Amino acid sequence: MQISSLAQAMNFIKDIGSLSSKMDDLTRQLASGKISETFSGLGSSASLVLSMRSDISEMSAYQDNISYTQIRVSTMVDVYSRIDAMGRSLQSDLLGAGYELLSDGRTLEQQMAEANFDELVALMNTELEGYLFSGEATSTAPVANSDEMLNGTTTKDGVSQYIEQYQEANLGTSGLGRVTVNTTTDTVTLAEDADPSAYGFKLSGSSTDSAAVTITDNASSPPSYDIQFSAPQITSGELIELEFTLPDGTKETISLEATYSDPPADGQFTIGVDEDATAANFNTALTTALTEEAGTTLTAAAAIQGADAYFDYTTNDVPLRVDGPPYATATGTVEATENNTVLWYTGGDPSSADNTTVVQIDDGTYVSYGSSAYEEAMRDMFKSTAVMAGTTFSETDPFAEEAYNALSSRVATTLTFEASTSPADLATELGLKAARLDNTSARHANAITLAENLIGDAENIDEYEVAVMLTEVRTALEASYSVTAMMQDMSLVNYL
Amino acid sequence: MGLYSSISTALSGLQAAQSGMTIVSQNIANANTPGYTKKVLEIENAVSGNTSMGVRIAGVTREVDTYLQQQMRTEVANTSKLDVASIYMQRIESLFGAPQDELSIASAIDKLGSALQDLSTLTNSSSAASSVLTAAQNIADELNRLSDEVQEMRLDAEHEIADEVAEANQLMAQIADLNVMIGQRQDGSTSTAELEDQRDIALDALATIFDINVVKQSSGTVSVFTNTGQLLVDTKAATLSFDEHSSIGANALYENGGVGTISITNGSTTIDLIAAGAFSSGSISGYLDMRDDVLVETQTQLDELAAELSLVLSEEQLEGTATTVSGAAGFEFDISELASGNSMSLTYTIGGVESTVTIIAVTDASVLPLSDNATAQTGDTVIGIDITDTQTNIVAALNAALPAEVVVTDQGGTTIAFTDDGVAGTSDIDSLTATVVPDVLQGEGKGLALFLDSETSAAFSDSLDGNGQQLGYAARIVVNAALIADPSLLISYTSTTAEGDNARPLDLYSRLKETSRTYATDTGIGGIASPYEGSVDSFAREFITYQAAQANAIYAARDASAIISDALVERNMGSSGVNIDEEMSDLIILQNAYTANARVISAVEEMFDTLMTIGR
Repeated sequence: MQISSLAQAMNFIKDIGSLSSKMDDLTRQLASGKISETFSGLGSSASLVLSMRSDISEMSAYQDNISYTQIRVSTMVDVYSRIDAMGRSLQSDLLGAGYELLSDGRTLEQQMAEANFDELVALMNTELEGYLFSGEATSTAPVANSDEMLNGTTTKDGVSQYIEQYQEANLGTSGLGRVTVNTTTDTVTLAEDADPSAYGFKLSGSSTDSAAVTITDNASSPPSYDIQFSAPQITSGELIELEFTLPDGTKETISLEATYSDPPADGQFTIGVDEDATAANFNTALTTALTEEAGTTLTAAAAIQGADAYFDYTTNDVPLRVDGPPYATATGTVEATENNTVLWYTGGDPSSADNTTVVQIDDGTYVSYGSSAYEEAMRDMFKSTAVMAGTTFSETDPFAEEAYNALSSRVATTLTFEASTSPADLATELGLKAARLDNTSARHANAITLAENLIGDAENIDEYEVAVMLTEVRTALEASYSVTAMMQDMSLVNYL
Repeated sequence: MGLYSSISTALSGLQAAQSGMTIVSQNIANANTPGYTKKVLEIENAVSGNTSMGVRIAGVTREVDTYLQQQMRTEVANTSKLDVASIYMQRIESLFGAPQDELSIASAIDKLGSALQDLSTLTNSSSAASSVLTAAQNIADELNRLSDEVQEMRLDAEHEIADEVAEANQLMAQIADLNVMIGQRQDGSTSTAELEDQRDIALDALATIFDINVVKQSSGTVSVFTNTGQLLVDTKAATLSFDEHSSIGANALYENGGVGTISITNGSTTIDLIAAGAFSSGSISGYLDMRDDVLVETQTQLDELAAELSLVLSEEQLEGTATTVSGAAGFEFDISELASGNSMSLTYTIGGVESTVTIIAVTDASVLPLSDNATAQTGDTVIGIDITDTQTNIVAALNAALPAEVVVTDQGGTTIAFTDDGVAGTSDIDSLTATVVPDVLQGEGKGLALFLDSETSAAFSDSLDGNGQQLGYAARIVVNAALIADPSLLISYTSTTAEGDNARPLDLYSRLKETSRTYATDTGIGGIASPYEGSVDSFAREFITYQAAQANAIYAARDASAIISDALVERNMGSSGVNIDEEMSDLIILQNAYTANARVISAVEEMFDTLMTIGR
């Protein structure tokens, strides 16, 4: 081989050129760590690389979603757990403590209930890139100011006013619980004062073990019972029982026992000289019993009714309030307006506020976790704390202690959440979702690592291999240079 | 025979050796001159009567293998075409950036997907909404840029063609001149070898521009033809003319005269050489391929991507209302819902055979009737209706186009009904679904016209009017200004949507990444019978993969062709080029011959001297 023609020289130059450009490329590969700067340089891996990168981008977006959601969900779990603890402690306090009024006409437990209520409002207004408990209306605080909710403003009523108004409406002007008791000769007539009416005692049953007493349900409107005494007279120890349904759905029975004693003990009536006299005595005893029942259980039930009315919205998203004033003679309810009532819940659509926040965590996989302050368990908490905080009692009221006990036992029952979803249930439910989020996130992390490895295999050089190739090319290039130099001298020209 | 004749014989030998030296020196001097062919001194025995009178110089000839030359030119033309293609491929590839940098249009679409996901979790974050718009803006910018670059490259190709045509004209003129000179000297004894070298250089150069056929004539001239047989050069050169266009857009195509064409005028007839297929290799063919095929296809792919991206985000399906017209059951639809480009898909069964008809609304009657290829779907029949026409005419046109078992009825207003054949009971209308692009951003489904056509400032509806709205759409796609003015529309798909309702971002995400669509086969992606189907983001990736594969194929072809043409060039140079060693050995032979002839003369002189001394 020799370089004596142009063709040969050009060939050498070309070969050396291609070797040195190969060396340049290998050097670049070593410096950048990448096989190629273009997609075509990746050959058949181009498609894989593109689709892996797209997968990584998708999965990273899902992971971002998951981490946002995890923060929110864990905050919500914290909130629910705190509320659960609050409910439990309030419940045990109510069951354990006695009736001891402080200066503001409330017990210590009631004041604690108010503190709980304030905290509940603050918790429900938790904000984390939007309000967590506002359903879809994430930029609106779901719950109003706690003081305004509880005490109202100068023009708008709060839950305390609702409770008072419902109590007034239930007790009526006579304080008998919207029933009347009248006696004509030997017959006592017990009647509701209006029909239909949302308030007061509802006659729901009667019984007697005396052959001398006939109780007739007149099936009239308003409903009424005639209790007729006949001869031979009722004997001592025989009972007349009248059952009433209270506005919170509970039932109370007034049981009056006939006696010969005069005056009769509490819960008794004296058998008179004749049926007419007995009827008159029964009238007196019944009126006393009704007054006491109205002052205690009906008062408590009315407070519950008032709190329920305040916190449960109608389809028009407003509470129902007593149609008044006057409240004592009201028979119906009207929808509140935002002008006369502090609307407590102002978040997203209360009729569909649960699980409204949907997050996509994988292709076609969604998790819904949204919640609102309007959720039943939260409303139960609001009602329980508000009814305790918003009801006041008077030292001078003889029935106050019993009314207080009736109220606190009702609230304590609600707080057991036996038949309904509790805050703890909500926390558990979210905990399950959090676990699902964790699993999915871990799966994405694995998949991303796998995809990155595949991309690495396709895009990145094997440094050892490239280094070896570089050495080979360098050796070849050096050899070419020295051979070329030798060839340069190997011409006949030099030997003539 | 005497001593004098020996002297003259030896003198002729000296002369021949001297001439040989001249040739060798020329050869050596030009050893590195490209295109120089080795010259050989042709000598012959000078015979007078039947006696040799010494050596005679027959002339200087070149060592040329004309077959090899033609082969070399053919292959060089091919390499030159592929060189052009590879340069353009590199330019196309550079548009997508390095794989690891994630700058490609596919990455831009992925980023929009991620931004939508972010918005779905942070619905009342204005930064998440503006991220979505920024991502959309990036896509629009990227499509605009790619489209501009593609058209820029086409314009560059146009300029290059102009340059190459000018160069070819100059070369052809030069060849014609040389032909004339060579022809004039053919009869005389003057050597034409140097002129032929020059002509070969010009022919070689011309062969890199386009493929030529060179036919050597007996007069020593050559005739140059295109591969389709048009005579370009003999003793006169034809002039190629090229009507260069100074600006080229997506709708400027060879077919519509939007780009320049190369023609040759012969008397009163003008031949379009591109139409005649004269350029099958060479650099011009490379540029034509780019300008008229490869880059046009790339633009089609970009337009399809832009179109499908816009449509998938904005289209809504409207179901026809079930109706009965004189006992025949079917569906009716209010065609005023249809804008140009919107369509209705009608499925019916006649005698147990199900058929699908796509009815496409147009507002330009000149594009009717539509081909079945107007939709990317296979297996459907396409009927075009001019919605600007009267309702009566539209109904008549539909009745004419549909089988008799499918009855189209004017229901009054703008409603038309498609019903079966009633009591005959041979046909059933299975479904009627319209695909429309709403012109409002709220209250018409969760989709959203994220992009607009800047020409109409309205949502892209894929109108087929004129050249079709899709042509060049990638250059015109812009982000909807109404969304930039009010980013909350990314959430509020109705006027009462709550801020925390992420249904729209999630729906848009699923449209972008999950909704499968069918892509037009003229994109070259997917087969004719089996068009590519997949989500828009997968089509974007497919687009890049396609371009990378195309580039790889061209690089491989270029490398293969370069190896062949290099080998041919080398062989050609080896056979006709100068080899110094050969020249050196020739030199020794010539030196020896000169010395020998001189020795003969001096021997004769000595012999004369001897002869003279005899007489003393």
